[in-house]
Amino acid sequence: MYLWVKALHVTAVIVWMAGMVVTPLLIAWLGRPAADEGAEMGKGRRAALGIVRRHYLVLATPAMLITWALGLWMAVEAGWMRYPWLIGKLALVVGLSALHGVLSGQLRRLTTDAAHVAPSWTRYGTMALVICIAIISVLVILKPDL
Amino acid sequence: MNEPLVEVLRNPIARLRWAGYFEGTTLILLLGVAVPLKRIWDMPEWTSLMGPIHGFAFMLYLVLLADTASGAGWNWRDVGRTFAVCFVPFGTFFNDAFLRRKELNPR
Repeated sequence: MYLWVKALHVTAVIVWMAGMVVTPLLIAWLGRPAADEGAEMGKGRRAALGIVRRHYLVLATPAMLITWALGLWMAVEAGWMRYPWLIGKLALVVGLSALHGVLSGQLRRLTTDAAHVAPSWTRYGTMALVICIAIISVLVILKPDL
Repeated sequence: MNEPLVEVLRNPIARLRWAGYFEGTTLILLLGVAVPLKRIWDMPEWTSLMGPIHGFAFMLYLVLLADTASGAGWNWRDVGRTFAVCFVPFGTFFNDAFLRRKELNPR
Protein backbone atom coordinates (compact mmCIF):
# COMPACT_ATOMS: atom_id res chain seq x y z
CA MET A 1 0.00 0.00 0.00
CA TYR A 2 2.81 2.40 0.93
CA LEU A 3 4.58 1.96 -2.43
CA TRP A 4 1.34 2.50 -4.35
CA VAL A 5 0.72 5.70 -2.40
CA LYS A 6 4.32 6.77 -3.05
CA ALA A 7 3.89 6.14 -6.80
CA LEU A 8 0.72 8.24 -6.85
CA HIS A 9 2.43 10.92 -4.77
CA VAL A 10 5.34 11.16 -7.23
CA THR A 11 2.88 11.31 -10.15
CA ALA A 12 1.00 14.14 -8.50
CA VAL A 13 4.29 15.96 -7.79
CA ILE A 14 5.32 15.72 -11.44
CA VAL A 15 1.98 17.08 -12.67
CA TRP A 16 2.01 19.87 -10.07
CA MET A 17 5.58 20.92 -10.82
CA ALA A 18 5.02 20.71 -14.58
CA GLY A 19 2.16 23.16 -14.21
CA MET A 20 4.04 25.47 -11.84
CA VAL A 21 7.39 25.62 -13.62
CA VAL A 22 5.97 26.96 -16.89
CA THR A 23 3.46 29.38 -15.35
CA PRO A 24 5.81 32.19 -14.17
CA LEU A 25 7.36 32.29 -17.63
CA LEU A 26 3.96 32.51 -19.30
CA ILE A 27 2.81 35.18 -16.86
CA ALA A 28 5.98 37.21 -17.41
CA TRP A 29 5.70 36.83 -21.21
CA LEU A 30 1.95 37.24 -21.73
CA GLY A 31 1.23 39.46 -18.75
CA ARG A 32 2.88 42.59 -20.09
CA PRO A 33 1.45 44.53 -23.02
CA ALA A 34 3.47 44.62 -26.22
CA ALA A 35 5.00 47.92 -27.32
CA ASP A 36 2.12 48.61 -29.73
CA GLU A 37 -0.68 47.72 -27.29
CA GLY A 38 -0.51 50.78 -25.06
CA ALA A 39 -1.02 50.54 -21.29
CA GLU A 40 -3.54 47.68 -21.35
CA MET A 41 -3.03 44.07 -22.33
CA GLY A 42 -4.46 42.99 -25.68
CA LYS A 43 -7.42 40.59 -25.89
CA GLY A 44 -5.26 37.89 -27.47
CA ARG A 45 -2.86 37.89 -24.54
CA ARG A 46 -5.71 37.82 -22.02
CA ALA A 47 -7.33 34.93 -23.87
CA ALA A 48 -4.04 33.01 -23.80
CA LEU A 49 -3.69 33.68 -20.07
CA GLY A 50 -7.26 32.45 -19.65
CA ILE A 51 -6.24 29.11 -21.16
CA VAL A 52 -3.20 28.96 -18.87
CA ARG A 53 -5.44 29.74 -15.89
CA ARG A 54 -7.92 26.98 -16.76
CA HIS A 55 -5.17 24.37 -17.06
CA TYR A 56 -3.62 25.61 -13.81
CA LEU A 57 -6.95 25.17 -12.01
CA VAL A 58 -7.81 21.81 -13.57
CA LEU A 59 -4.38 20.14 -13.41
CA ALA A 60 -1.83 21.84 -11.15
CA THR A 61 -4.15 22.70 -8.25
CA PRO A 62 -5.72 19.22 -7.81
CA ALA A 63 -2.23 17.73 -8.21
CA MET A 64 -0.98 19.94 -5.38
CA LEU A 65 -3.83 18.85 -3.10
CA ILE A 66 -3.20 15.17 -3.89
CA THR A 67 0.54 15.66 -3.32
CA TRP A 68 -0.14 17.07 0.15
CA ALA A 69 -2.72 14.45 1.13
CA LEU A 70 -0.61 11.47 0.06
CA GLY A 71 2.61 12.98 1.37
CA LEU A 72 1.16 13.57 4.83
CA TRP A 73 -0.22 10.01 4.88
CA MET A 74 3.22 8.59 4.03
CA ALA A 75 4.94 10.79 6.60
CA VAL A 76 2.67 9.51 9.37
CA GLU A 77 2.55 5.89 8.16
CA ALA A 78 6.33 5.53 7.92
CA GLY A 79 7.12 7.73 10.91
CA TRP A 80 9.12 10.25 8.90
CA MET A 81 7.92 13.29 10.85
CA ARG A 82 10.78 13.14 13.36
CA TYR A 83 13.48 13.25 10.67
CA PRO A 84 15.11 16.65 9.92
CA TRP A 85 15.26 16.05 6.16
CA LEU A 86 11.45 15.85 6.03
CA ILE A 87 11.07 19.00 8.12
CA GLY A 88 13.34 20.79 5.64
CA LYS A 89 11.37 19.37 2.72
CA LEU A 90 8.06 20.41 4.33
CA ALA A 91 9.31 23.97 4.79
CA LEU A 92 10.20 24.17 1.08
CA VAL A 93 6.92 22.60 -0.02
CA VAL A 94 4.97 25.07 2.14
CA GLY A 95 6.83 27.83 0.30
CA LEU A 96 6.04 26.24 -3.07
CA SER A 97 2.39 25.96 -2.08
CA ALA A 98 2.28 29.63 -1.14
CA LEU A 99 3.85 30.46 -4.52
CA HIS A 100 1.20 28.29 -6.18
CA GLY A 101 -1.45 30.45 -4.55
CA VAL A 102 0.27 33.68 -5.58
CA LEU A 103 0.53 32.53 -9.21
CA SER A 104 -3.14 31.50 -9.15
CA GLY A 105 -4.09 34.95 -7.90
CA GLN A 106 -1.96 36.64 -10.52
CA LEU A 107 -3.57 34.57 -13.29
CA ARG A 108 -7.02 35.54 -12.06
CA ARG A 109 -6.12 39.22 -11.81
CA LEU A 110 -4.47 39.28 -15.24
CA THR A 111 -7.53 37.72 -16.89
CA THR A 112 -10.06 39.98 -15.16
CA ASP A 113 -8.24 43.31 -14.91
CA ALA A 114 -6.98 44.63 -18.26
CA ALA A 115 -4.91 47.33 -16.54
CA HIS A 116 -2.91 44.89 -14.39
CA VAL A 117 0.52 43.87 -15.63
CA ALA A 118 2.62 40.96 -14.45
CA PRO A 119 4.95 41.84 -11.57
CA SER A 120 8.63 41.84 -12.48
CA TRP A 121 9.54 39.04 -10.03
CA THR A 122 7.67 36.51 -12.20
CA ARG A 123 10.67 36.51 -14.53
CA TYR A 124 12.66 34.71 -11.84
CA GLY A 125 9.89 32.41 -10.66
CA THR A 126 10.80 29.46 -12.86
CA MET A 127 14.47 29.49 -11.82
CA ALA A 128 13.49 29.71 -8.15
CA LEU A 129 11.19 26.72 -8.63
CA VAL A 130 13.90 24.65 -10.29
CA ILE A 131 16.29 25.36 -7.41
CA CYS A 132 13.64 24.34 -4.86
CA ILE A 133 12.92 21.13 -6.76
CA ALA A 134 16.65 20.29 -6.80
CA ILE A 135 16.98 20.85 -3.04
CA ILE A 136 13.86 18.78 -2.31
CA SER A 137 15.15 15.95 -4.50
CA VAL A 138 18.46 15.91 -2.62
CA LEU A 139 16.67 15.87 0.74
CA VAL A 140 14.30 13.06 -0.28
CA ILE A 141 16.87 10.79 -1.92
CA LEU A 142 19.89 11.36 0.31
CA LYS A 143 17.89 11.90 3.53
CA PRO A 144 20.83 13.69 5.16
CA ASP A 145 21.18 13.94 8.93
CA LEU A 146 20.92 17.74 9.22
CA MET B 1 -22.99 32.09 4.70
CA ASN B 2 -26.06 30.80 2.86
CA GLU B 3 -24.89 31.03 -0.75
CA PRO B 4 -24.94 27.93 -2.95
CA LEU B 5 -21.71 25.94 -2.83
CA VAL B 6 -20.80 26.79 -6.43
CA GLU B 7 -20.98 30.50 -5.69
CA VAL B 8 -18.81 30.00 -2.64
CA LEU B 9 -16.19 28.12 -4.64
CA ARG B 10 -16.10 30.89 -7.25
CA ASN B 11 -15.57 33.66 -4.71
CA PRO B 12 -11.93 33.87 -3.53
CA ILE B 13 -12.70 35.44 -0.15
CA ALA B 14 -15.60 33.04 0.49
CA ARG B 15 -13.20 30.15 -0.19
CA LEU B 16 -10.70 31.68 2.22
CA ARG B 17 -13.34 32.09 4.92
CA TRP B 18 -14.36 28.44 4.65
CA ALA B 19 -10.70 27.42 4.74
CA GLY B 20 -10.38 29.52 7.89
CA TYR B 21 -13.29 27.68 9.51
CA PHE B 22 -11.70 24.33 8.59
CA GLU B 23 -8.22 25.33 9.79
CA GLY B 24 -9.55 26.87 12.99
CA THR B 25 -11.64 23.83 13.78
CA THR B 26 -8.79 21.38 13.22
CA LEU B 27 -6.47 23.52 15.35
CA ILE B 28 -8.95 23.47 18.23
CA LEU B 29 -9.45 19.71 17.87
CA LEU B 30 -5.70 19.16 17.77
CA LEU B 31 -4.75 21.37 20.71
CA GLY B 32 -7.92 20.98 22.76
CA VAL B 33 -8.70 17.30 22.27
CA ALA B 34 -5.91 15.28 20.66
CA VAL B 35 -2.97 16.72 22.61
CA PRO B 36 -4.66 16.33 26.05
CA LEU B 37 -5.67 12.77 25.10
CA LYS B 38 -2.04 12.05 24.27
CA ARG B 39 -0.45 13.78 27.29
CA ILE B 40 -2.96 12.97 30.00
CA TRP B 41 -4.56 9.68 28.95
CA ASP B 42 -1.60 8.30 26.92
CA MET B 43 -3.60 8.00 23.68
CA PRO B 44 -1.16 9.19 20.97
CA GLU B 45 -3.22 7.86 18.06
CA TRP B 46 -5.45 10.95 18.10
CA THR B 47 -2.52 13.32 17.45
CA SER B 48 -1.39 10.97 14.69
CA LEU B 49 -4.84 11.44 13.15
CA MET B 50 -5.43 15.14 13.81
CA GLY B 51 -1.88 16.28 13.11
CA PRO B 52 -1.89 15.53 9.37
CA ILE B 53 -5.49 16.71 9.00
CA HIS B 54 -4.57 20.04 10.58
CA GLY B 55 -1.42 20.17 8.46
CA PHE B 56 -3.54 19.82 5.32
CA ALA B 57 -6.00 22.43 6.58
CA PHE B 58 -3.15 24.86 7.33
CA MET B 59 -1.66 24.36 3.88
CA LEU B 60 -5.06 24.91 2.24
CA TYR B 61 -5.56 28.12 4.21
CA LEU B 62 -2.09 29.36 3.26
CA VAL B 63 -2.60 28.65 -0.45
CA LEU B 64 -6.03 30.31 -0.52
CA LEU B 65 -4.68 33.32 1.42
CA ALA B 66 -1.87 33.70 -1.13
CA ASP B 67 -4.37 33.32 -3.98
CA THR B 68 -6.84 35.83 -2.55
CA ALA B 69 -4.25 38.41 -1.50
CA SER B 70 -2.32 38.22 -4.78
CA GLY B 71 -5.47 38.37 -6.89
CA ALA B 72 -6.89 41.39 -5.06
CA GLY B 73 -3.65 43.26 -4.32
CA TRP B 74 -3.88 43.19 -0.52
CA ASN B 75 -1.35 45.19 1.47
CA TRP B 76 1.22 43.37 3.59
CA ARG B 77 -0.48 44.31 6.87
CA ASP B 78 -3.71 42.58 5.86
CA VAL B 79 -1.79 39.55 4.61
CA GLY B 80 0.26 39.36 7.81
CA ARG B 81 -2.80 39.67 10.01
CA THR B 82 -4.77 37.00 8.14
CA PHE B 83 -1.75 34.69 8.23
CA ALA B 84 -0.93 35.24 11.91
CA VAL B 85 -4.44 34.41 13.15
CA CYS B 86 -4.19 30.83 11.92
CA PHE B 87 -1.63 30.08 14.64
CA VAL B 88 -3.98 31.21 17.42
CA PRO B 89 -6.89 29.05 18.69
CA PHE B 90 -10.14 30.62 17.46
CA GLY B 91 -8.04 33.19 15.58
CA THR B 92 -9.53 32.49 12.16
CA PHE B 93 -13.04 32.76 13.63
CA PHE B 94 -12.27 36.14 15.19
CA ASN B 95 -10.76 37.28 11.87
CA ASP B 96 -13.86 36.28 9.90
CA ALA B 97 -15.49 39.69 10.38
CA PHE B 98 -12.43 41.31 8.78
CA LEU B 99 -12.68 38.95 5.79
CA ARG B 100 -16.40 39.63 5.52
CA ARG B 101 -15.66 43.39 5.28
CA LYS B 102 -13.02 42.60 2.62
CA GLU B 103 -15.58 40.59 0.70
CA LEU B 104 -17.95 43.57 0.64
CA ASN B 105 -15.11 46.01 -0.14
CA PRO B 106 -12.47 44.07 -2.11
CA ARG B 107 -9.61 46.58 -1.96
